[in-house]
Amino acid sequence: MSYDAESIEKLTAMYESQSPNAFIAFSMEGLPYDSEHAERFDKDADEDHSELTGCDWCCCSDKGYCNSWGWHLCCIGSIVVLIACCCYATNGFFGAWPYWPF
Amino acid sequence: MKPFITIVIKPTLFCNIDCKHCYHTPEDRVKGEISLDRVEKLISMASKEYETAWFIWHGGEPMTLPMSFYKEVIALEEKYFGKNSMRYGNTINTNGTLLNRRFMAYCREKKINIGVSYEGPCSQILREADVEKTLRTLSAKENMYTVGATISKETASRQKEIYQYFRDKDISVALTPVIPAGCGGPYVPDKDEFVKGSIEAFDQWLYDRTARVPLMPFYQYIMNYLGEPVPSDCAHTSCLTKWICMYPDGSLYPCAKACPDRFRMCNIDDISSIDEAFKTEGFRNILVGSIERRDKCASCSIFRYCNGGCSVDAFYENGLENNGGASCESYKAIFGHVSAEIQRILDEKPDMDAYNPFIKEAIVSKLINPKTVSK
Repeated sequence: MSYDAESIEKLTAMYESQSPNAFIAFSMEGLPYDSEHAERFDKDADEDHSELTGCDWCCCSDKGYCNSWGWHLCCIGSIVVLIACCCYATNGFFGAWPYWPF
Repeated sequence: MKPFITIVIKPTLFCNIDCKHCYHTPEDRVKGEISLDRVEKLISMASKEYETAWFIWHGGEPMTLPMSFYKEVIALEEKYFGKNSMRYGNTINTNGTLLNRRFMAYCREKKINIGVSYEGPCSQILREADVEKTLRTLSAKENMYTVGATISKETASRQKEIYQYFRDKDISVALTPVIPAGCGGPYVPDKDEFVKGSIEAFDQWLYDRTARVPLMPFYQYIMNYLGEPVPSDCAHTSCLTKWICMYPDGSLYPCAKACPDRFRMCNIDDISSIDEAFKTEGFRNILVGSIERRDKCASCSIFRYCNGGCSVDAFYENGLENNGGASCESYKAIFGHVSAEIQRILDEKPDMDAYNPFIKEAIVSKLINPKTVSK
């Protein structure tokens, strides 16, 4: 039998009529229910949430690294300044660095 | 409003590992990402035309896009469907190589299911990837995820081994054969070996009293036989009009498998409703061929369970209008075995403690309420 002359609406109705149960069952089923996921999610919700938001800053990439070279430099600069400050406050790390000039 | 649609979005066809059996050709798998405008349009249309929608993020490798893309997408879904409205859900299908803890945490927060393609003990046959560490983290962090193991000619007889491997780790696994599309041709399993391997795996699971995971697609076959078809078993649920797939360039197809150009429905830029896509020449082409094939299937004893099978599989086997290809014959043999076992249990009512908990629960609930069970 050729269906070439049939309208798309009639073809769709024909397709559905070939397997009516599939369409009835489907409309009753609706969205798959994943209670297991909900249960697992609820159990550790607070912990998971803090893990996620703890890294949700503009300087961070999706992988948790620096987002750009600028941020890399900023990070390295901060560490250098921090070490210098510690060195100054401890007068050359309590003498461990004898050449500390200040 | 229509009740439900599954929307597969391929945000890129690029892949970072290029599995040997991919149904997209290397020429298809080039860099290029979908625009958020197109995604927004599809989400917006779905929210107006359907009560519920399930979004599947596929590819290519969807994780080659940054997490910020998915954050924006989820924000769009919340905007159009309503935050925590239960009208939508998401699954991301990935090879797992680019999944990081941060994205896993995001999936937990947004209740995104993860599907990882991985073959466990046979993992180096089709793809160069080892995602053991990723799976361990997913389990430890209690993400909702499943593994899809693709069965090739090399692994057709090792399905039981693959099941046992994941069963020991309490990971739900689906066994799916390679299809002869794109690069898949040389890796398609021998039909008889595939059937034998599938039945071995099913029997192992059937009597596995301590199994804590369902084995797909057999669990779906059982639910189908018991009158509870599962929407995710797309090949056997008369999928046309219930599934739609968007490519990075905005092209819409009726299926996520590699459809030929003649099944391309339209571009999302050219329509103002999803319903319009299902009135195009491309959809008509797959519809007419599918109706013709299903006419031939009507007298088959299992037609009411398989609904004519997968149109795209049929297209790549004996042609869209013809049944009797490897997928058809395999399903007949495997479903025949599965349904015979279930019917025997229903008839004989043996001690259900001999069976795995999923079978036990399904059978017991049907014996209590036998409205749809029939021989």
